[in-house]
Amino acid sequence: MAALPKRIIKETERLVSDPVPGITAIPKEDNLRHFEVFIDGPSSSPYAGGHFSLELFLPDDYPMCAPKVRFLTKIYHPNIDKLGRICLDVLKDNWSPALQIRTILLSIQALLGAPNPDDPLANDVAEDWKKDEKKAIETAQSWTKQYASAKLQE
Amino acid sequence: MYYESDAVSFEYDEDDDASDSFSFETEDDDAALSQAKPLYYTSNGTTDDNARTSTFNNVWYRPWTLQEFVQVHFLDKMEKLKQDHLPNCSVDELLIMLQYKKWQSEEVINDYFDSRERLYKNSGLPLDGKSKNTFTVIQDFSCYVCCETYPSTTVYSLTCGHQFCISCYYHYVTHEISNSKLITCIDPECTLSIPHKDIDEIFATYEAKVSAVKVRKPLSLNPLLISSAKLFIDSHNTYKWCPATDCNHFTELLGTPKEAEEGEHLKESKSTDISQVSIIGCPDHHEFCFDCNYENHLPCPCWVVKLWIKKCEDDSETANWIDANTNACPKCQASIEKNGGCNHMTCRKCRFEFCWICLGDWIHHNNSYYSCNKFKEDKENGGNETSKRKYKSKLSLQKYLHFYKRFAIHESSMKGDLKTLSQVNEVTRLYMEARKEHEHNLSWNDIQFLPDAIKSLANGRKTLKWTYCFAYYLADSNFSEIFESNQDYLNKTVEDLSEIFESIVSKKNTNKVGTILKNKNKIINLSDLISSRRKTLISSAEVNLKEGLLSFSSE
Amino acid sequence: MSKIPRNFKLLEELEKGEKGLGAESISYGLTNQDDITMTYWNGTILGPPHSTHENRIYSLTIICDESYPDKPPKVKFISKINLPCVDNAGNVVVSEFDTLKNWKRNYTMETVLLELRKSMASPANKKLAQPAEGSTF
Repeated sequence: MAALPKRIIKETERLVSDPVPGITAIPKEDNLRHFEVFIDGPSSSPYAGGHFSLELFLPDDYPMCAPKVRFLTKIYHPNIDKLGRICLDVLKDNWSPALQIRTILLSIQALLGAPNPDDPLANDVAEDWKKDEKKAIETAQSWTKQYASAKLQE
Repeated sequence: MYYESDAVSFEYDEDDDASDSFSFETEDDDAALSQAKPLYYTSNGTTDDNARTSTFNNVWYRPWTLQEFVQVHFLDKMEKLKQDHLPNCSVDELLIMLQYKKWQSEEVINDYFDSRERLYKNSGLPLDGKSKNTFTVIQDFSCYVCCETYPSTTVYSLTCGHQFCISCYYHYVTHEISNSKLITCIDPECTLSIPHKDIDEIFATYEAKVSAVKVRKPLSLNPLLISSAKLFIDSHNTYKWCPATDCNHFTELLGTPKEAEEGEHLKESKSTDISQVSIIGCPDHHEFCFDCNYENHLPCPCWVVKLWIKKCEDDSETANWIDANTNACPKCQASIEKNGGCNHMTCRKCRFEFCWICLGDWIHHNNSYYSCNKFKEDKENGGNETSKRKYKSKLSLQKYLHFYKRFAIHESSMKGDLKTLSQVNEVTRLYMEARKEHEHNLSWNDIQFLPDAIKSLANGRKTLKWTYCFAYYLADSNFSEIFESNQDYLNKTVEDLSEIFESIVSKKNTNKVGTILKNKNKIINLSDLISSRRKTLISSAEVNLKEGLLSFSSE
Repeated sequence: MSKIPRNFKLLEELEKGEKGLGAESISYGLTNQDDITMTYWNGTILGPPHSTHENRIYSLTIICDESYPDKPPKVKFISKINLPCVDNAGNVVVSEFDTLKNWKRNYTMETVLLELRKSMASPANKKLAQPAEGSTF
């Protein structure tokens, strides 16, 4: 494998030495561009108490193009589909090379706290959300308990 | 099947009047045509001197290079906006505002006078109009994006002062440019747009780091403007890219005699009116069909071309066994490889002269009538139903292979011709360079006939190629024989010209330029003959199809 | 070039399949839309013209386990077919099918399906007698 760019080395070092509260990102031994990620659900959201597993990959073009990220834990959210794919502007058009893995993960955490059913990726979830927000939040809470409980994963 | 323009264009071709009318006509017809040319009014009400017409029908078109397009649609527009309305704005500002407003001058003017401040803010310009963009060389610079620390590097920043190294800016701009949108400062919170000229400077500075030479290019080659032009062309269906390999030019359809709806109808129906085929040309004189975006396929109508291509794709496995590049001498069986384009072969071993296509004695081909184009069905032999059916399917395969082989040979001959021609070109160029020292009397004018002959040969082969597709679908009639003899005439002329070129570059010929000059009249005559025979073939096919004397058999 | 991990490669393949960006003569997609492991896939091949497969549509299952794409996927025909590289249970036999035998990491499910189709159209196989249309293994 080609040598890792300095930028990726620096980011990795900082993610390990100075982690963001509620977020961990650790590169895999066999591929240092491939990260195992955990994000805790924001406390004031239906995902509170959840410990969500994600994976992140830095393509060759990084940082000129955004990292690729997806949820591995099942989650009930209007901007995340059944396969864990995330609809988030900074992962697409609004990516900038000055953004980092940590800023992206923070944005994803923020997305959990602020679902946006008007720009959906999972259409059925978004519809439920708009029709009956209270019920949707309950479903999100019960999915969090069922699939993202920290105990289950440790 | 196409040639790279570099391979055959002569140096003096640059002085060649770019407004040369593309047509199948000879020079005289061109002159007559330009007189009769009505003024074409473009959408913005001005006349377009660059409009051409295909002489087959009244299709009006304008060949474009990307650079010309950028000049006319972007830069000229910007100049006009500056002169007429916004003289106080800088070129950078005007280009950014125009790009933001998708090159709609009116919208820029409206927005500007509505609220200059809002327009500046939205398009990413510093509000006070004083841009402080800088390229500076800094010692011990640590770049936030790549995390490298440079002992010394060029750093770019916009008015905001966010500094990033030139290498990061280069990769960033390269990555963003295909979006054809304004590119902002790397800092994600910053909305300032990078001016077009600065993009050029970023490229030039970065490339100078690698090649040590700083090349400045005109704004009409600006990568963001070029990329925006491409997007514009892709999203407007009056523009089509030239399908020729490595050709980056395109053509705008200005007007057509058929109504749009009727045009759709014609494409779908099996119309045999080949005067409706919209053959247009690009600035490099590649002829192509606007409707199917394929090379000039006359005398075939578009739907026949579609059938043929589909058939060739489906039957490619069957046709694969035809090795178009090697053959054995029909007399002594020595293996022969074809290098050039000419189909008149002479075996190196036994000196037998034969035709590459039919492997017959060439002697028969020099006569006025030669029949290597004709597919002769063997007399059907009797037998029971099964053997008849088998025979029929064998015959149908034979018929396809007969025409496919000829189609493919002309396609590969074209490549051979172009190889030969690029050698002729090289020989001439070297001679012209050496000429000054020896003070020969030869001038550039004396060999101006070569590029025309080259075009003529390539176009002749292209038409010939498609006559075999045409002939495959043609129903047998007395008039199909007329078509075949026109095909033979054209074939012979093309081979004759190809042969002359090949003899010029042959190894035994030491005085190549002398041979070119000695054959000058022959070359000119043959290339004129190709043009006129080509025209005769196509117009006779057109007339006979129209009158129902020729028809296509259903497959 | 860095090695793209299995899941991200499969996401790319899925996207290409979903958007119909690939060849027209074949198609593929996840068997279950919510299979977060992206292991089980369905494929179809449109029989090539001028062969005994003409106008037939063949269904297949493709299994991309954890070793994909370092190792080839497991490919099995659902529709009955007579082809040298397919055993009598419908499995595509790795040793008999070059694409799987000499598997490369940058191959995709699309490569496999297109190569199978090519094999169906090859001179040696295009005339093989085929089981009744619509029968399954």
